[in-house]
Amino acid sequence: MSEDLFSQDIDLDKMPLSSRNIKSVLSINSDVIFREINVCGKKSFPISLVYVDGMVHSKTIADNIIKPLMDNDKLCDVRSEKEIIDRIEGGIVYAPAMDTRKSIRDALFDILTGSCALIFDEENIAVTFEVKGFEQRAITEPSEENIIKGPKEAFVENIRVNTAIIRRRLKTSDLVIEQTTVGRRTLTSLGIVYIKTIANDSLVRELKSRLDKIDIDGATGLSFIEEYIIDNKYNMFPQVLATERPDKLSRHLLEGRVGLLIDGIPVAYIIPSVLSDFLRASDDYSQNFIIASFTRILRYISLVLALLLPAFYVAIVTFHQEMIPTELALSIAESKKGVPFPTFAEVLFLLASFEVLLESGLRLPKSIGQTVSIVGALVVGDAAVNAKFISPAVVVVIAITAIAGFTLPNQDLSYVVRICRPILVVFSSILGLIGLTYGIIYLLFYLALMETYGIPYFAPFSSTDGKGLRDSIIVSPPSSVIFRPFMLRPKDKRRQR
Amino acid sequence: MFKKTIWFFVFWATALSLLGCEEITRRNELVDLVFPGVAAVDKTKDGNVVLTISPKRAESGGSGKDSESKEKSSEQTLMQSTGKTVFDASTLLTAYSYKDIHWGQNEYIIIGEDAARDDIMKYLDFFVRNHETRLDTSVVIVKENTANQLIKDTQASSPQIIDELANLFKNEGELSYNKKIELSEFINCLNCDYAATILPAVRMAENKSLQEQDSCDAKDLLLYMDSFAVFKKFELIGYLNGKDARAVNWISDSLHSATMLAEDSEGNIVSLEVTDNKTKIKAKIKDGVPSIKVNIRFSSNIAETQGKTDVFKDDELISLIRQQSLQVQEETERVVELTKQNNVDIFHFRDALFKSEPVKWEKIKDQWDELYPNLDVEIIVESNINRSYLIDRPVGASAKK
Repeated sequence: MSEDLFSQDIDLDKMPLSSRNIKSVLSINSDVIFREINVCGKKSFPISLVYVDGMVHSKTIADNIIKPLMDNDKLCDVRSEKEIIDRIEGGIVYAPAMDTRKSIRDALFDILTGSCALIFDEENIAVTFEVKGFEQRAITEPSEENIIKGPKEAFVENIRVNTAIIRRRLKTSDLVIEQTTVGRRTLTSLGIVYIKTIANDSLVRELKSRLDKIDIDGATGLSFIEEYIIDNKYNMFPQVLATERPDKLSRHLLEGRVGLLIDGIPVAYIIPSVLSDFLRASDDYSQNFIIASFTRILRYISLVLALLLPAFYVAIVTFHQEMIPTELALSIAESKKGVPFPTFAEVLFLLASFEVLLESGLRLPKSIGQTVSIVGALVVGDAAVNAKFISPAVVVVIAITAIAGFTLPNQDLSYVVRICRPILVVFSSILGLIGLTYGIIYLLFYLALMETYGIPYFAPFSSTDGKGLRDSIIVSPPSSVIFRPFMLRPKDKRRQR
Repeated sequence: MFKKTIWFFVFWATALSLLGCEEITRRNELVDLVFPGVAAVDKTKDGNVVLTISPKRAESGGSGKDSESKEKSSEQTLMQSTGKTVFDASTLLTAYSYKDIHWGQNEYIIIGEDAARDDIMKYLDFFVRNHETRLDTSVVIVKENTANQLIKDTQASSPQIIDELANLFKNEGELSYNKKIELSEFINCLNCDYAATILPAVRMAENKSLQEQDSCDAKDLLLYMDSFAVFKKFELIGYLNGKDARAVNWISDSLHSATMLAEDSEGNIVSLEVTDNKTKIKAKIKDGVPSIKVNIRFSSNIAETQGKTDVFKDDELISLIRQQSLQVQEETERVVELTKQNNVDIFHFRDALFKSEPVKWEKIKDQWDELYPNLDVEIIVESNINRSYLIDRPVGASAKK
């Protein structure tokens, strides 16, 4: 639990647990409800009931806690608060989850995370009951990772719902969901999910140790957590795979990976993740393996196109014209007539325009977003070509690049590709294909040096033994995938007996 | 970290500042280039070199004013210069060319007969050395004329000379009277002792039939590519025309298709079309005497029969097969004999001997010039007629009965 709970001014450790003290901490909040209850209707043992309105289920409190305390005859003969506590612990109150708290810090944590507390001032004890009942979003279809065939449910903001979804998929007793909290003020719950007989212990340990190092006051966004669990925060390449699909997480857990659920964020992290993971789509496992292989190969080709096509175009059009078939060269030259800018400037200008168009479409409501795309791409594009600002050939190249970029299943990887693209254009506009080759070599060198949780970022391609290539570029038929990925060093190596 | 940041900024500042320096980066936009398409090289009487290029024009598309203006703008005149060498002439071209000549887009090098008879490497060396030139550029000899004249005479025609040459090579498979030979292949063939090789030759002829029909005075020229120019040690020594050229393709396993005429038992003409062929050359050296065995196997189809005889009867088929085999046998033997007479190993039998008997070849290779005219070349032809066509019996065959 977090060290400094709510206020830096009050030293909670020195405060005894009493209704007065809890009031002093929380009374300023309009949504915190304090109520005094007379056990069995007698005023001899008044106990305080505290909960946060909106986070609990009121009817459950009324029916299962207040009513038994006030109406149950078995409590009428009690002579001390200790006796009441004993009887509550004995089951006089109908609550599935109950805790007895002796420190004010623990009691406050329970109250603020959706429990109601009965505070016994004489004994300095709080009995808390989990009666969470806040409004939450229903489980809906994934918005980013849609598939044609396959499950249609996505994670929601509530971590408990998410853990339940995973449990429903992996009904094994080996599935472990460990909970921890980060954020001194947000007290964000994190769920570390893994299958204890598959996931490597050192991997789980490493993740836990990285999470333990987090000491921030609030974890309100993904990046707050991500930065702490990745290997190199100055690296823009995605190092952990984020997914909103429970089936995807379950599949990775079965491979020996570890999942990380964050309360309040409908996305789970898959740890560790390597480059090839960002090119695997959920669709790959819901289709015939030949079709899935075809689409995956297409995705790899698209990655190359999205990354290199503008730079390659600049290189061959301005440096290596002999590489272009004569007819095509003439056609490009014809289209370029009258355009005052050099080709690389055209390409950079159009790439920048494309980024602006994407960003503007993202921020606007869907209906207007489409209009912006049409106005931007068709009207402005056509006008720019007609006005000889840019040549049609460049428009075609950038359009192919953009479309190829959209095939990438992971948005994080797509962003990196979009950033690397103009850099490579600059390289190729200085030295042509040699410059582009330098750029590619640097990029490959950089990626080859990367590791995530001790696994090379290029795995399984980086291994010399060829192990693990089975489900890399070509999707293997499920019956032939006998072993789990070797790179993850799972405890149980065999997937099929 | 600070050091890295400094390096990062220095690198990008240098890189971005270089973007505008076309002199340093040697960047060239496509619009600033001329694509030669076809380069014609000739020798003048005083020993100079005439270089003519016919820049490739963009095909105009669409309709209306736009396309007309496009067509007009894309029309380019021939560019010609005379120099001591090809390189000299090419640099002189830039004196009046408003664009850079990009040799990377040169698809054909055509050499006039005079230049070919002189020393062809004198005129090809520039293209081999030039870093822009593609080594898959085709080399063509102009038969009985100058390359310059060929370009000039076909300048106004449509399609352009480059497209005409492309079409001729594309259609060569029908007759197999020539084949495309790339610059790299040609120089490799000449890059050895006893060098002898061939190049496709093109000739111009007036289209008389059309002139008569239209009673038109204008010269209508047709390009024919039906012969091979034969080179011995860089010099053109003659031509192999028509079926002799085809025989070269038979032996060198470059034949795509061929047509042959045979007769059925009643003397009617039957047209045969070669559909499949394979030639294997076996070479051996026994007691210092080299010998070559050429095995030609081919299949043909009956493309046309003029009579009413059922040519698919066994005895008819055997007769036709015998006739076609005999024709190929005669064609190839005649050409081998011609090459022996002229002592030009255009079939590269020496390579076959080297590959099969490398040790023995070492002993006789220096005498190849003396050995070749008396080389024992045995040609074995095996053929077949496939019955794949739907009509097996001629129309009217039953009526005759």
